[in-house]
Amino acid sequence: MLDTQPNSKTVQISDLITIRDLNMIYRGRGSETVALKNANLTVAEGEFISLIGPSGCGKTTLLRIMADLIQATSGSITIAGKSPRQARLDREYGYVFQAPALLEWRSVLKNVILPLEIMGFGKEERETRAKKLLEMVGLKQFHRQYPWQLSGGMQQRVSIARALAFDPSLLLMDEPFGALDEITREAMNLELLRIWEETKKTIVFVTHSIPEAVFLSSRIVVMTPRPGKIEKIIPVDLPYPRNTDTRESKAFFDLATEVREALRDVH
Amino acid sequence: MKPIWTAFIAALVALLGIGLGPLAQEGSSTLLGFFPVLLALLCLGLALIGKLIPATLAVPVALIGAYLPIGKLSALGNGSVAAWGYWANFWGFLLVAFFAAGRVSLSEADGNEERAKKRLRGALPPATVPFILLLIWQGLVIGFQVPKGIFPGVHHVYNQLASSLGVLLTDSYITFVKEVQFGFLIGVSAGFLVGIAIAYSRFLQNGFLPIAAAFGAVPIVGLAPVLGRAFGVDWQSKAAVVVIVTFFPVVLNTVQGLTQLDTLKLELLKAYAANPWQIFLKLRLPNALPFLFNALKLAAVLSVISVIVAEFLIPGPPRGLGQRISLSARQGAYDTVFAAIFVSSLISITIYQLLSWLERSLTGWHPSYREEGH
Amino acid sequence: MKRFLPILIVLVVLILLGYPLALLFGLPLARRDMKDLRKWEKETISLSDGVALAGQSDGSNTVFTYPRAIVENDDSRTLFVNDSSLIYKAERPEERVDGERADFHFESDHGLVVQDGVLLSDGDYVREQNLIRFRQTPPRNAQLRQYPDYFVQDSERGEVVLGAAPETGARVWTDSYTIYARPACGDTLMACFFSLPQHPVPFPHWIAARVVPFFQKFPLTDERNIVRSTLYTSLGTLSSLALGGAVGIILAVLFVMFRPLERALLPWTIASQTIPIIALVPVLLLVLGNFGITIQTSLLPTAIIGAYICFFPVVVSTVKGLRAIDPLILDLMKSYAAKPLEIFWKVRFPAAVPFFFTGLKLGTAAALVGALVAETESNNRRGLGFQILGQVQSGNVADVWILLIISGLLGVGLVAFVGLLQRLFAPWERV
Ligand SMILES: Nc1ncnc2c1ncn2[C@@H]1O[C@H](COP(=O)(O)OP(=O)(O)OP(=O)(O)O)[C@@H](O)[C@H]1O
Ligand SMILES: [Mg+2]
Repeated sequence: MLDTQPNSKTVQISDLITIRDLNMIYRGRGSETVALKNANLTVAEGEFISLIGPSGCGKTTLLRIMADLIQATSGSITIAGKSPRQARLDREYGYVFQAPALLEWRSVLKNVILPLEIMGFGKEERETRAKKLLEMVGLKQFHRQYPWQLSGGMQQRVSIARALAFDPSLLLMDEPFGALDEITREAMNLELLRIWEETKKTIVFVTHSIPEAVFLSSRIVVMTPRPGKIEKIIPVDLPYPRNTDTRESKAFFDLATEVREALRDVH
Repeated sequence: MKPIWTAFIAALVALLGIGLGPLAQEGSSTLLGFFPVLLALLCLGLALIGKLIPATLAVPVALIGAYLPIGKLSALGNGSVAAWGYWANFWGFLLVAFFAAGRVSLSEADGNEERAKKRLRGALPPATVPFILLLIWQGLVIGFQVPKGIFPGVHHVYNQLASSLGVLLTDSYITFVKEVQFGFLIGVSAGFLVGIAIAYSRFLQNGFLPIAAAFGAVPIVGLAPVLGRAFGVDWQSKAAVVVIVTFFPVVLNTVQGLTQLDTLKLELLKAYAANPWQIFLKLRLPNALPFLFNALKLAAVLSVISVIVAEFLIPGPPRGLGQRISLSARQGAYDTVFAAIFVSSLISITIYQLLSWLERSLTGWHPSYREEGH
Repeated sequence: MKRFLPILIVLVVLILLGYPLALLFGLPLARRDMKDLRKWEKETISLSDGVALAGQSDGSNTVFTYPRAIVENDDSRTLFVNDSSLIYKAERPEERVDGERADFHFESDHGLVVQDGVLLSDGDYVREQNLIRFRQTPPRNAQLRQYPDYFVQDSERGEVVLGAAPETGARVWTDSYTIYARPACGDTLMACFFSLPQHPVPFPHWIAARVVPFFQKFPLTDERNIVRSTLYTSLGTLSSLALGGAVGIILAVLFVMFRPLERALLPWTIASQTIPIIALVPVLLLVLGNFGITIQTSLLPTAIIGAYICFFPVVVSTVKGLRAIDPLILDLMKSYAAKPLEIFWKVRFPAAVPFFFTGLKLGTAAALVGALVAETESNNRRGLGFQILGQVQSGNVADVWILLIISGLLGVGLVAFVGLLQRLFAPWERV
């Protein structure tokens, strides 16, 4: 199996996520789906990891195991030295789902405030934080609207703001920009990178887009389906901060090609 | 805009009736006169123009026109059955109103019309319906000279309503304030609490839910006589019927509302490590609100119907709308029957609208209000 | 099996719940029976040498007490002061108590004056021989009585008031009087409970014990036979459903084809559901009767009533189904240049079938109620509705419960039947 020790070029810092021999089998009526097979992965603090792979290869499953939304069939996983369950109870991570999952009876602002309410933040702080984040995702003037009055992409931006609201050190993002148009998507990419660099968060990011993965990540995990496996881990040594010029560099294209080929090998 | 040809032809028929048709089988009177002819000509003209405003105007004009033969025939008062002139006038004008209202509702909106026009298009056709129905009722009763003892006319019902309003209001007080309100409050709160218990217990969901659902098919009002024994024949037993009738829909809908959740949303709250109370308050309860209101509306309708049947089936002191209806029907006093039905409908429609209003203000976020939102 | 176990358990619990419920509803009735003196057994006590009433004969006291509770209107009661016997007699006023008059004549010129069971004191009236002038005009229809010798003030305590105070040391005694001896229903509350003539909620096993005799009560040749009644009611309900379904479909299609009709009528269909249509049953029956169609001979009135009740959910649901088409599919059909009628038959209609049946299922319970109510209004001795009313009138509560359970099962069965039809006509829909 692949050795997934932190890349030699990155500075050795403590591991935030350690995954060892993880297996996930969905048992249905008379059928079994092996969603993950012997996954091994270590994510260091401050890393930006992208999971990429064809549909159904277990990206969401892996993310959900990290978030303790489901439990692995076997194998071990620790997050910040704790079990996923403990990490969840300690509110270590923010999660952005594949769909916006907004509560339709709450206005945009109230949706962003939701985690803050649950975690017991003060009333004023909730408002200021939420407003700041809405401004960041470019939805400031929409804060009174209800979710159904927003487009799909706008809804997804609200859900990103919501995940950032309580400032978790780890962000688990499941295709957060999948529903956005190309322009907004690139702007959001830049914004995400800015947040990441500023706050030194660790991000695990699922995407279907090769350029996006290359542009954002410090490492790209390529996964293959049936059974879901981690096929290859590609370090991305483009220098940060990255900007629009990065997308036009030769190194960018080379890396994109490498990822594309790794994905093509799968088929 | 095109002329409303259907309305035009109907107006022609009416005009023909005015000029030529005899009003009654006996006697030679017709409707011929300045006012009827004017109305018919007006209808002809408005139908030819066929635009939104003329079509709108044609509706009241035609409704008045349809009333004319009725008024004239009853003014003759010789008890004679209507002849073809009456029917031509009556149906002709009614059809004009019908088609004109249809045109109003169908007329295309041009881009920058005022809000008032839009309102008109939505409101006029439904507003026409009760008038048309009342006219048909009255027109048939007068036209065939149906005796009051077989089927009362609108004016009989109106007179009865005016003369015995006090009695009917006392009856309504018994039926609605004592029986329905009391039973409704108890039934709904009990149903809600039991619904919560079921939503949080897998065992009860498996065991109780199918039974509760089956109760939807059980004619619960049949219990009325039994409850009459248990609670006495006065209002308490009828309130008990309401309790049982409202209980089951509320249970079912509460359970559905609390459990039919988007799993993503549950996971979201789980990811925040929210405690069960927070999940209930911030997710399950708001999610259940639309279901709950559906149940409330259903329960309101059911409880009115059931309380009236219960009053049929538990003959107690002769008070309450149901008692009034069944007693009057037995004596052949149908005008009272209809007056009582009218009062009870009016009250239950009010209750229904109140609930709808409450629903709109509490669950305005719900997608079913999307169209109205903008 | 595993699926049914929880249902079974809950059912058993519900049935067991019948016992506390029976007590809950029965015990208050039993207590009432026990407390109500009128329902007590009476017993006349005769004493050969007599017994003294409690009370001081000090020349001013007039209140004396029998040893036990006494029956108020009692012919065998005696009361003596020394050797003279007092007579229990209530005199009525000669004039009508009309609420205006304050002066009344009585037969005797002495005695105790009582208004509505309450003894008046001397200050309340002025006596002029046998004319009593009330200070306050007695209200209309007040009960005025004059008791010349004595008055039973409190029968439960056996307390009597004499018209004149016995002289000091006089013996006030009786040798015969009737008492409320014991509750007729039994000595204990439970005994009274068990001897209730009709239990609102009988013990479940009493109901169970009635099942076999109930089914055997009428032979199959009698139309009151339970199987025939059930069949009759289901026939009524099914014809209601057929009629209501047909009307519902037609209306729904009209609504969808003629938009104005819908715009005009839909707000009213919702409102009309709040009209207690069932209240029209008596009227409808009589109106139909005028056309020679009576419920005695024809199922039609039942069908019309049931249809009237059940077609609204059908209309609403079917319209929803006809409308709820994926706009993409409509676009697809348009791209095939399909005609409106083709779109209707190939897309809208099939899509509406499951919705139609859902509406029909909702209407089934209502139709059943309609049939039952219609049957209670008839007197042809047919159908469950008539049976229920009959048993209620003859007080067979256990039989009423059996009938209710049967109608409940019938309702469930009919809904299941409609569900079966749905699966037959819309097999693609997973229910
Ligand atoms: N709840 C579930 N029950 C059974 N099988 C499941 C469940 N969730 C996912 N699977 C299966 O597990 C496999 C991986 O699913 P997963 O959702 O992780 O894919 P994914 O990589 O996120 O795909 P996509 O890119 O389409 O979101 C799929 O084959 C899917 O069928
Ligand atoms: Mg996924």
